[in-house]
Amino acid sequence: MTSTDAATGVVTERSPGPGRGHRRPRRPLRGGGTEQGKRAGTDAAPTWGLLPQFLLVMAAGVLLVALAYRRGWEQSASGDALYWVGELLIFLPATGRMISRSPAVGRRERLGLVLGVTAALYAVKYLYSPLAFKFPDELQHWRSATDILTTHHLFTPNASLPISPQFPGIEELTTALSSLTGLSVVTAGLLVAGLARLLLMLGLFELFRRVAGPEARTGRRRQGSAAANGRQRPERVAGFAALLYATSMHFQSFDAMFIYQALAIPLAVVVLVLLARAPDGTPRANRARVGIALVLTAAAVVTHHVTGFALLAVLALWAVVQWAGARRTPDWPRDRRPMLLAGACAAFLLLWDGLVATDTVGYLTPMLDTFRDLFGAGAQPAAGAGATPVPLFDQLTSYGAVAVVALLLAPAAWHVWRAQRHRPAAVVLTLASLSYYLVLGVRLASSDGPELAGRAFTYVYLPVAYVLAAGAMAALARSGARPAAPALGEWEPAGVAVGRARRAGAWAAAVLGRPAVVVMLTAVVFVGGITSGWPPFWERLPGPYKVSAFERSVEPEGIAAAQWTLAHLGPGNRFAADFTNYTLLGTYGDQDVVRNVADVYYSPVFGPAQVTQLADAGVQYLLVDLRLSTQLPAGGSYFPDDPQQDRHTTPIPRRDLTKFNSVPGIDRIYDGGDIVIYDVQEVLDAAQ
Amino acid sequence: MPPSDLPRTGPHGVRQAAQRNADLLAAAALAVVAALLALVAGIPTPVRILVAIPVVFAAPGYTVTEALLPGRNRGPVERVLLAVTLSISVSVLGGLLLNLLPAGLTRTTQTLLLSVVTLAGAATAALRRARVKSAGPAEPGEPSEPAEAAEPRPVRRALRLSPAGIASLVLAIAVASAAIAIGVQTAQAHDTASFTQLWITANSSSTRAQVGVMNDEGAAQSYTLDLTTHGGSGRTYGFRLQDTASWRTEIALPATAKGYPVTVRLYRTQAPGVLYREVSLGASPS
Repeated sequence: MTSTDAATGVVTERSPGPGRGHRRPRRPLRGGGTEQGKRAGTDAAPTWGLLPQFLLVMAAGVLLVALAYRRGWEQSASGDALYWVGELLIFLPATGRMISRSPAVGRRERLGLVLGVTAALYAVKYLYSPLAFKFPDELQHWRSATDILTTHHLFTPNASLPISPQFPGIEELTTALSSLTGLSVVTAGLLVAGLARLLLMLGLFELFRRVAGPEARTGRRRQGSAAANGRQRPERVAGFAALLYATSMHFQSFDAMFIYQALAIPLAVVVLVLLARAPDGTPRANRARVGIALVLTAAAVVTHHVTGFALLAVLALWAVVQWAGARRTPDWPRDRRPMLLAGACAAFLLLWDGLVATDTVGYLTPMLDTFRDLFGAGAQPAAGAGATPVPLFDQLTSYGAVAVVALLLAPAAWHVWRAQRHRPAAVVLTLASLSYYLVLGVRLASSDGPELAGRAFTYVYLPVAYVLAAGAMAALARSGARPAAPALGEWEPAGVAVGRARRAGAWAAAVLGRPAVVVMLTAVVFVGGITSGWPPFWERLPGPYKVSAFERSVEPEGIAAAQWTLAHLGPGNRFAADFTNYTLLGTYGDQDVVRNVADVYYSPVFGPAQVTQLADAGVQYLLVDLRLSTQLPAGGSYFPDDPQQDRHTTPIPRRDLTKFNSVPGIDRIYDGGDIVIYDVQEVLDAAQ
Repeated sequence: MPPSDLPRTGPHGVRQAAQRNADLLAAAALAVVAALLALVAGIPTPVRILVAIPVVFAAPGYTVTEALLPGRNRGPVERVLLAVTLSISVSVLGGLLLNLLPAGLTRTTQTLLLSVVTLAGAATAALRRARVKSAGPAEPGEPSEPAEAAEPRPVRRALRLSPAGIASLVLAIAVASAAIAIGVQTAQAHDTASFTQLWITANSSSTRAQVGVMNDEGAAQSYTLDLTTHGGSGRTYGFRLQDTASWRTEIALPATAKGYPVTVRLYRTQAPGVLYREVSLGASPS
């Protein structure tokens, strides 16, 4: 027996009556749940569904990625194919299941799919380097955590990332775990980062569910709003939105690292989760939730600078939406919590950044300059990705992902605006999602745009994911109910051109509303997120040493040299070094490494100009990595501040790197084979 | 406190209270055990891990949440979110306070912080539960906290996995474990390098110098070390180092400040004619 939903046209098959036996429906119910479940307004399928089977598929994907990493170390060409098959196995089946309207897919299964994908993608990141941190930012936070364990106090200066000790949240948690368990900082850090991942996705699922949630909780049911929203179960939108967030550029790697925002963002998201629940409890309970939100806001502010400002921006926007909505609409839900929390967040930021984290403004100003330059004369085209040309596959998928999101976001935002503009949280997310276009401009128009935009997408993708998911779910719901596109003649009164355009629009909407198309577009966005994110193509798989290649350059010889400096020279010496050893010396070596002496290395001679440059920088020791003469820099620059960035055509000549051997007064104090350390203090003293 | 607000006493009342607060008692017990473990040395790491992870990530936040929001007014997801994020906040914000103490952030102070917050939260939550119970159900018209996400209580049968589900889950765990084992083994096998470190460092008064060799070749290695000073006098050392072992010696430097050039050359015994490493003080190496 079937019935058709008048609003959506979705065909629903009813259960047979009691007198007709207890046969199972011959095909899955459509329309989002059973009749009983619909009457209850709840998820009538609190089961795990096919979650174990999908977890098995994800595990198989992780296994393929592990094998791909092994191929990477072995320099085998099959590694890339294994890697991509593994990634797609992790993500795509879960996506297909998530967008299913079958009532058999319950809330628990959807949440399980989100957490399963999160765990599997974290495993992909973990397996890349399971024994040690290798990315510079991770090593810098490892240094700060190690300093806390050593000194038992916060705010120990960290020359490799001076801002890090001023936002000690993740280090405090990690050292607490390390102290109580006896685990190393690396292991404790990996646990903290992994837990933060799960917490973030759990929080996003709950946030999105509440934003898309039952009408009764957040305001008056509007005529037609449910139909416009496609009569979606909130957990279906929430699950798909969470999976879409996992397609953002840095989700899989950078944001999953042991870095401060990894912990701060989940804290901020839970603040929004609390805010997204309407103040519908007892006054005491409402006050308690606000109190908890205040605590979490404070914790987020002291954990990461940008997250604190991003949270303030969202809370302020929320407060403005509340205020504007209350002025325009009499039945707008009254809620002063956004204003209160925004004020508190601003106060926390002022206090923390004004009294403790005093380097924050100086640290963030260069990033703000990039945004300013975007609208001024300083805009420069985005640079290339280093010395190696970007493969066509990476270019196509990267730009394809941008195109898909950029093209679909605006209509999706329009849909959410029309369907949910009576909900403050949905309005906030819709407005915030439009910042995607601003960040996209930064990415395409500024010289350091890709890096900056990647960092910004971490935040911007949060509302973008919700808006896209809500739009996609509505398109899916409508595709089943949509009548056939009108014949051309029906539009004749308005003209042939208008008729064709509307037919084309109807055709596009019908195509986009097909599950296979949704999965395919999601796959493009997912793959594009990986190819435009981190790690780049030249180190997507781990493998043998490469010059100036971030993780691929961190290997035992460099670490041993850095550790030697700490053991034999003590901490805090002024060092000059190349890009990789800059990080290693600053972290494993706890040295104070200068950034702007690249010309000393490039010069074929060591003369007065080089002496002056070293003296001005206060350099005491020079570290020379002779491997710089064997390869072009994969990342585009040999040194932290490289005047020849992205312009190298040949490696540095070896004689230019060994010229220090013949300079009287320079002591060659360390020889590790590839790495040599010189003591230049005497020659600089003599020059002065 | 009016008599009606007091918890019932007697064995039956105590048993009821214990049953009602079993979750809080478990959290409090964990906190006490963690505090005891912090004071005792030599506890095996697995035991510490088992106790510490819930104390760091869950117990303080759980009891504080129960104290602030008593009753079944939260969905399971919100329950988890609040318990974990509040626990994290205790470490983050509490660490700022511990930093003001002379002892700072040590295992003892961090454990005590987490334990005290857990116990205080548990005590407050138990008191509030007792008051709610003794006060009875809310009067009609009195505002009460609605249940979040009016989800039906989970049906135990519905949550059971089918045999296929169980098999899939077991297989998934096995496959994921295999993946991790392969990844770790791959990193251990490949993320290595073979090298030897040679160094020379003078002391602050430049009267003596430390010469050292460290073997990181991945296997035992025999070396010959030639030490020459400017003017020709020299000395040769021969030694064998196990993997990761080091050799050091201290030499006296010539008295004249500018005239102490010292060159140290290292050879591997298997290739005696090939200079392997070289360091120097005040000299121009070849």
